[in-house]
Amino acid sequence: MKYREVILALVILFAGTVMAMSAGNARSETEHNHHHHTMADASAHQSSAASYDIPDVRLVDAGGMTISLREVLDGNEPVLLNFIFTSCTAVCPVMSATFSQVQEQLGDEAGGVRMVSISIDPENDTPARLREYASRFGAGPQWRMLTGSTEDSIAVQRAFGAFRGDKMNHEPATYLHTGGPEKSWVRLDGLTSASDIIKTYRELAAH
Amino acid sequence: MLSAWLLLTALVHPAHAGVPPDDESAGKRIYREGMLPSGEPLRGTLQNGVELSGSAAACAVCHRRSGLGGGEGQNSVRPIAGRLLFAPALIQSSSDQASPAQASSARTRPRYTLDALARALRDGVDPSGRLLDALMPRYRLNDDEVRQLAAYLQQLAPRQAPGVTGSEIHFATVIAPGVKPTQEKAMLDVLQAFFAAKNGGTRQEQRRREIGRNVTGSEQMYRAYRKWQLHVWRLRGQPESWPAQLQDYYREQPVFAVLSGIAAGSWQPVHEFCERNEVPCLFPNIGFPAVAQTGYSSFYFSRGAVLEAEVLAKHLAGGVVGRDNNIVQVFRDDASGRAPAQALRAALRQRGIDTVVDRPLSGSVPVPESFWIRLLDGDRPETLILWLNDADIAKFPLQREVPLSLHGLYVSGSLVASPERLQQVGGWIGRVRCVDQLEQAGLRTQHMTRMNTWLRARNVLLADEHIQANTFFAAGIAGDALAHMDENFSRDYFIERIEHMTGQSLFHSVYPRLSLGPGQRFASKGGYVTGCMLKGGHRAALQSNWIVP
Repeated sequence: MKYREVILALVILFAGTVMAMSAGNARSETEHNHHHHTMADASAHQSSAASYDIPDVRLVDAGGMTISLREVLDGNEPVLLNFIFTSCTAVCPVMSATFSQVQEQLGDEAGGVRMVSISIDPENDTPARLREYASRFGAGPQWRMLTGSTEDSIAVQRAFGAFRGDKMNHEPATYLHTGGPEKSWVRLDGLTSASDIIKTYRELAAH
Repeated sequence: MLSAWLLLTALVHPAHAGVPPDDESAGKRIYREGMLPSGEPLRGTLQNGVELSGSAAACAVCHRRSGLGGGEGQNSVRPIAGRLLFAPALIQSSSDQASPAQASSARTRPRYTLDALARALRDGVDPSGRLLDALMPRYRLNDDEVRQLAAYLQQLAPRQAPGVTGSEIHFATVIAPGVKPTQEKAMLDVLQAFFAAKNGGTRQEQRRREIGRNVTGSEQMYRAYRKWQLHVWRLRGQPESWPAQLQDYYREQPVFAVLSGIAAGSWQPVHEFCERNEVPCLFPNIGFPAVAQTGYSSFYFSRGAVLEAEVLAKHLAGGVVGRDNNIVQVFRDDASGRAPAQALRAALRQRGIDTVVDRPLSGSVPVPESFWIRLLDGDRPETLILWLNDADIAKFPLQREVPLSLHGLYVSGSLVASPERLQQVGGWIGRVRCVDQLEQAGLRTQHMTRMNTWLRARNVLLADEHIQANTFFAAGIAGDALAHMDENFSRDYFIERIEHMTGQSLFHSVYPRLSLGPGQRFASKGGYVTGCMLKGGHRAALQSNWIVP
């Protein structure tokens, strides 16, 4: 158990360093106007490992069903999680389009992955609005959109170190969990590409 | 006859199929809807490989209708309105900020040309050769489409909006007929005090602007300063005649925005005026907002009694009543009475309860006690809901013995101004409930302290806390939004600032929590079921948590 955690931390550290380095390179190259490298500045994101205490809150899914967040996240299938709100203009549509692409690229495998998007504007994001949002991004049955009370949404955001005081200040992040009793999560900060999410997911699944 | 025919073809012409739209309107569709002139969706690819198309790829998603951008978190979205895009700009991009070494190095970006715009759109590179933010997609656009988009950007966010001159910014407030003089005064007192304070606090800005120009050779500082002017638009007669009256006022003195306002009944004609002229209309004191569809220019505190109906439905269906409960609702058979009644029926049906009996009241005659006795004895309701005002329920027989069948009597907190008059005696105690959207008494008193102190210091009579707090909020949020806009007097940008700032405002209204986001127009989204206000201003215990339907 301990050994696994150390290995996991090393993998993440290494991946994070490589990504940070490549992001740094891309930046210094653009300083010198190397335009042919423009597409190389793909997702500049940072990866880190963390352990989160999931608060014992009841949230509501797009079907209007009240469910325990702990129950949603318990279980053996891997979890991909992010925070969104349906009227968000810049960041969330991109994060949701990314999840949509992850779902597509995983193909049949997607059925074994639990994707969870939690609203940070729960009073406006009623189950009906979540349904409309889910269909806008072609969310399959394995991708659940959750809302609830403002207090509970904030408690969850705080638990994941994602609370920024106001929904308009939120920052893009994707959280991955192997499933099972493992408490550790991998957090990808920034606009992560679908392929990077899948790559991290596979690395986690291999352990 | 011929001239009439010519007029008709002129009107029909723009929409005629096969006629190519001009560049600006083609550009507008690309910008706002993500729709190319060919009818194909606009397509773009983000740097991380994510594909966007159609409305999700539209420029307005991030740059917003104003074209002045904004941002969420660390991702800043640059302004792209023509006068800023086609001129050199000082740039501090978010990717620059990510590196501490470059944090203070703002740089000048050369002006965009049509070719440079094409390169930015297709390759994500700005005229100085820098990569654009990770959120900016690479678009598949041909030369014609880039030109059309440029034509639209060119006229976006002009420096001067209606109601703004070089030295003044004009606002109006609207007073509908039938409002009590005390309520009208309560609102106007706050607005006038706010405008006086605003102009008093900045009365030296004109002079500073002159000095600033002499000393620094620029108008950089203080140039956004404008004197605030308030115009009171009083409406007369029937609502059918209001559109013409509003249009006359507006023609005589264009205003940048309408702040607050007050009406005893319908607000629909004012709503339509605001939407038609794209005049931002902020947070009026009204009971019946236009809720049939969310507008663009009109902002409201809440959806009024319709919201209360949905709150009540969720409360009742959440274990208070069963599926066979005999629910009777009484309402005035007009637009404002039917709206909550229909909302309650629909929301209960959605939750599997379909036993609601409607008892509409036609005409405007007072409701006699005999009506209530007939209703209680005849319908034998278990749950009785009244979408009525104080006058309509004045004769409700609360002194009579409670019918055995009746478990709960519910009244609307927004329609009944004095619920304490529903004196609960004998068996009625604990059976009368209010559906209330307001901050509960204790917290509300705390939150009103700042406003009350501010008003008292300006010799404003504290006459009506509800109206004055809401008016103070409307004026305050307008001031905050304008302060953020610098000299970009764009109404779209004003609206976008209000969407952003409402949830963070330091001004308190009488609602417990207000919040908006892009496209959201109703700031308070829930309510409570309470035991109603009792005599002496004391409130009975809450019967529910904060309910968001």
